[in-house]
Amino acid sequence: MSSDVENAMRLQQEEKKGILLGLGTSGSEMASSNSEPSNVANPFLASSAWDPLTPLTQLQTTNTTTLVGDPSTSIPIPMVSHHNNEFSNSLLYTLVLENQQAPHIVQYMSRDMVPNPKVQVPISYGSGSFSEMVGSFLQSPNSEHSQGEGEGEDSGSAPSGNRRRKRGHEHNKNAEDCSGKSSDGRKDQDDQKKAKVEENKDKSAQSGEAPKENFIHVRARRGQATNSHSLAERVRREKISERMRLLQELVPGCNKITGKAVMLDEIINYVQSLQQQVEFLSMKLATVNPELNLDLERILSKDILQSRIGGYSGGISCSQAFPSSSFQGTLVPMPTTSNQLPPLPQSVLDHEFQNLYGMSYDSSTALGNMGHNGGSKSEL
Amino acid sequence: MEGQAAKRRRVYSIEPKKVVEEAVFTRNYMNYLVPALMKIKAGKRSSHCCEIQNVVKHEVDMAMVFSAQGFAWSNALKANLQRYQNEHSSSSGGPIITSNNPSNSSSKSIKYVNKDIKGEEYEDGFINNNNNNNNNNSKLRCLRRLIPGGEDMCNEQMVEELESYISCLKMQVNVLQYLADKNC
Repeated sequence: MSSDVENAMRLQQEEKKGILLGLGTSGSEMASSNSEPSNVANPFLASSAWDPLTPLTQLQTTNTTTLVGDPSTSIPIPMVSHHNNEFSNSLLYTLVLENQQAPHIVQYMSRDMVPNPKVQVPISYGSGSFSEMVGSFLQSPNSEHSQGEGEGEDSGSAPSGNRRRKRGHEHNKNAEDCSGKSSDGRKDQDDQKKAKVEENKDKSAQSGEAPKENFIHVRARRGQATNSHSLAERVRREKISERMRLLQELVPGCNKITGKAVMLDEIINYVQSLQQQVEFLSMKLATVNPELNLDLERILSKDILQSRIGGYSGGISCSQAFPSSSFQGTLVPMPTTSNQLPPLPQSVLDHEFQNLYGMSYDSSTALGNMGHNGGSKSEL
Repeated sequence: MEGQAAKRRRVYSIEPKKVVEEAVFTRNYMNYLVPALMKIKAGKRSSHCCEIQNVVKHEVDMAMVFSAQGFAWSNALKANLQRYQNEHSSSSGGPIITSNNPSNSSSKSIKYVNKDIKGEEYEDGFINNNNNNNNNNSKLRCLRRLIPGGEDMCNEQMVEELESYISCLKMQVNVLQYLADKNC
């Protein structure tokens, strides 16, 4: 396991060296090791440079366990306890910064540096939104886990028991085994939440070495069934319920609903009504003869955006300050629009604009802009 | 295990959770749809109203696909649209697409879904009570039919996709409403 870790780390090292620099922990040694040239440093890396990492991960876990009060692990590094949150936060920021360039590397980081895993998918790649990542990260210090115990437990249980593969193209046979056999959906007993539900998630390497399995280590709560199948089922159910909660916010009027069945009903109705609306509107568009002008279309798209943002009152000032670059890209595929500019009468335009923006529009500027060809359409 | 081979595999994508921003979606959608509509109007005389409706619907869906890329449902929608286009490539009128099932394969997929009843009960494990279980399963099946490509998804993935799908549908309705109102 450790050699795999080192391999992964080495690969990541070769590709991007800046990540660890941002961590700002006691790993000044790590920072120095990052400056080593990759081809020379491999044995060096394998031996000593990554050593700081393992105590660091242990630091991570011991910190949270000492916070919880679990005496299981006995690594006495008390002083870093208050750094834990900072570490994870700074790691978060670094991850976000580096996200765009090296997503898979970030994934490695997440696996090894932060054994906390409710941070699931959002942590690891590029275009997830920042606030989501922050949210999931900041949750993590609150979750209780002890890595050492979890691993011990897993070795005891059946090999396919608590584990679940999570990988893009591998099939989830193990989880299917688990949930396939557990047709008994046992109820969660939430009375005693001395729970240590630990979810450590490892992501397998994608670099071409032997694919590691992705595991979610789950521990049964007190008073709950410890059957491996039901554990996997429970994890799945919890995930699905979490998703349903998110959906509650999307579907209007579902805030007070607290039942899955009712919630599902609402969702189905809502989706159906939305689809019917789309159908109806598209039929309407088909039958009505549009007076669409593509120049108007740009204004309209701005208008739609601004009406979402906050009403028409700020429309003009926003539109004039609107960054031109945002529309130039979209205008490129439509070079044929320019020849449609002249025939529009000014009065129609003025009327339209006043309707759109709800205030007097400077028609001269509008026409002046329209007189330009192609390039300066962003003036509007 | 072979009996469950037809079951939806729980394949997770290790992709980031994408959030479709409204502004981006709206802009892309308009940029796709408006020229397409103009083109349709330009060639209006030759075809009659059913075809126009189909074509418009097609373009509406395609605009949706292009505005919200990277989701499983958008890929499935694109595949469905392309399949539809291949099947009805000539100008002969095709059937009007109903709203709930924007794909031709939906009728076939229903058969598969119904066959999978037993498999679903194993897979879902939603609630303890048998009655509840059946109800929830049937609802999930409904949902699966609603979302494009839902037949190939497992429950968990479907719920994830639902979020993006619902928000994109909402934005789509906004845009279409705007366009339709403007032209009245």
